[in-house]
Amino acid sequence: MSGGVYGGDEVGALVFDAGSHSFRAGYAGEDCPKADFPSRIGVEMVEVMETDNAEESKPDKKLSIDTSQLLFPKKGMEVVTPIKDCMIEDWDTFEALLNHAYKRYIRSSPEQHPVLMSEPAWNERNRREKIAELMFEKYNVPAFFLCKSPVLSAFANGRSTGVVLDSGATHTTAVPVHDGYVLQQGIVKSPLGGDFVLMQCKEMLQSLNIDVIPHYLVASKEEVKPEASAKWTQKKNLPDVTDSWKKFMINHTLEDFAASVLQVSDTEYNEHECVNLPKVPYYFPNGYNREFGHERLAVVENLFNPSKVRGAAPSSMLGVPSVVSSSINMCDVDIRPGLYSSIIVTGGNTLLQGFTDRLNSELASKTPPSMRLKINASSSSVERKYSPWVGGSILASLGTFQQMWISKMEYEDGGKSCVERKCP
Amino acid sequence: MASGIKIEDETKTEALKCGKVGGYKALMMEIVKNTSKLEVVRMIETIPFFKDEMHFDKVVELLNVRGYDQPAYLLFDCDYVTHDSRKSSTLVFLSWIPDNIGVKQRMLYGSSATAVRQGLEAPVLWECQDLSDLKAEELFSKVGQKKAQRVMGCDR
Repeated sequence: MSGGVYGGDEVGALVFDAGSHSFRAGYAGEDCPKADFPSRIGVEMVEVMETDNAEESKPDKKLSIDTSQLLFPKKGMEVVTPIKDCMIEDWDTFEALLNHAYKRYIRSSPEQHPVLMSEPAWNERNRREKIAELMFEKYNVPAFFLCKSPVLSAFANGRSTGVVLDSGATHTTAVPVHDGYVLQQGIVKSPLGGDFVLMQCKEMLQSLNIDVIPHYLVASKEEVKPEASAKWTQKKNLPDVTDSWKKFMINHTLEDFAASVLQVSDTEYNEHECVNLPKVPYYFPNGYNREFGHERLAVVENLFNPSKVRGAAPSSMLGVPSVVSSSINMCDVDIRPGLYSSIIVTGGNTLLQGFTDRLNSELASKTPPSMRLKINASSSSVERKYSPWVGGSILASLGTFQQMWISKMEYEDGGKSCVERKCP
Repeated sequence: MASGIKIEDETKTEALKCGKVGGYKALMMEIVKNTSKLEVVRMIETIPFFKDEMHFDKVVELLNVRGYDQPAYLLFDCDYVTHDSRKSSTLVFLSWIPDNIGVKQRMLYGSSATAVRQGLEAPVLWECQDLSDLKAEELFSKVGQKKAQRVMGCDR
């Protein structure tokens, strides 16, 4: 072993997984992340006070991070996200998230812990180098490693070859992995993710004349009968909140609605067949309540069959089964059987009731008869939601992995380009 | 991308005799921690070399020595008949990772499989999770219809 190899594993490594919806952080070797907080941040512009101290870098932004701060109404607070297309776009905001994770959850200084971070399969070289630079130079970490999320998910499911279907907040993607490497030519992305489901929920509720009133507006409410109009009073003296924050709060309410009510139909949605299914009641924050029947299946139908989405070009949106099959079809003919027989399902959106069953039945009709279809979906919702984090956590805790890290010394000798060499 | 796992020297020497006269027809391996707490691949069971055809059933039997609920790597010499009716054989690396062993074991075996296969110079990787994967047809499709007319013990 050369002198540059990071050898000290006395102190636990840290694992960070930054998604477009939430930021996961924790110690390697644990089964689930210590922290899972929104990756959206509230930003308020504050006027800089004239002081005698002529320090120029005085902050003129006040940040609200994590659920408790972000959900509190504040005047002029805009909600922003550092992550765009699953990649880091706004580095200052991203640093704020990292600082928060270290301070609130890790509670230890960054220079003591090696860091393993996940990245999207399509991350760009300059961004990979920049993150290594940030971790080594700003946070002074002793060692660093970047790992592609789909590879971590595949390994965590015991596979080194397969297609990883990840349905998250902003996207649904299929990434083919072969022998532990991403096949870049087969990456397929579709904008139909969790945010799309929320948008569909909103449309459905509008068509039923239901106003979604977030919790922060409600001062008091009275009990009403199902489907009767709500009797509630609005809070007074609320600060003048921004549109982005209002939208964030409405989505927050809709997320709960989606998780409790929605279900994916086993076969193609048909209103006549679904009217007999049991109805699910839902109680809105303002006291309005009703039961949802076939609507709760209709809303998610568009994930699988986007041809009915209003006002959208169908070509730009692929349904979930088509995302998988087109990804496989972009790969070499010889490896396609191995991909069909190992489809790994991950991401919070896949926890929708009935998601994998429907995927299975739709893909069965798209699989060539000579090939076998097998879907691999962990039954544990923690593993499904956090699979890249969990995979990274175990990898970073292995004794043999210690030789894989980029050590600080290697970084100092070889510069940031060593990321490309050490973390393929 | 891999876990950085190593194969124990002795295991590697023995494993490289797989498919050779005087060597083995099949070897079963597991991952254990060595004295310096590093994860290594170690041999646990073998089938000595024999001249006759290796039947697929033998692989399934060997795997069951420890029980199907235990993860293992299996290297075996797979006999097949080429399209011009010649007898030939290839090394197959079977990565047996049952679903119910917990995510730690799955990740350990899953992230090491490719590196171990390459270290043992086996051209074919076969990943199985349960008995529905461990089928003769699957083995046939892994060895490749381009190469093989028929794989021994996988008549169809």
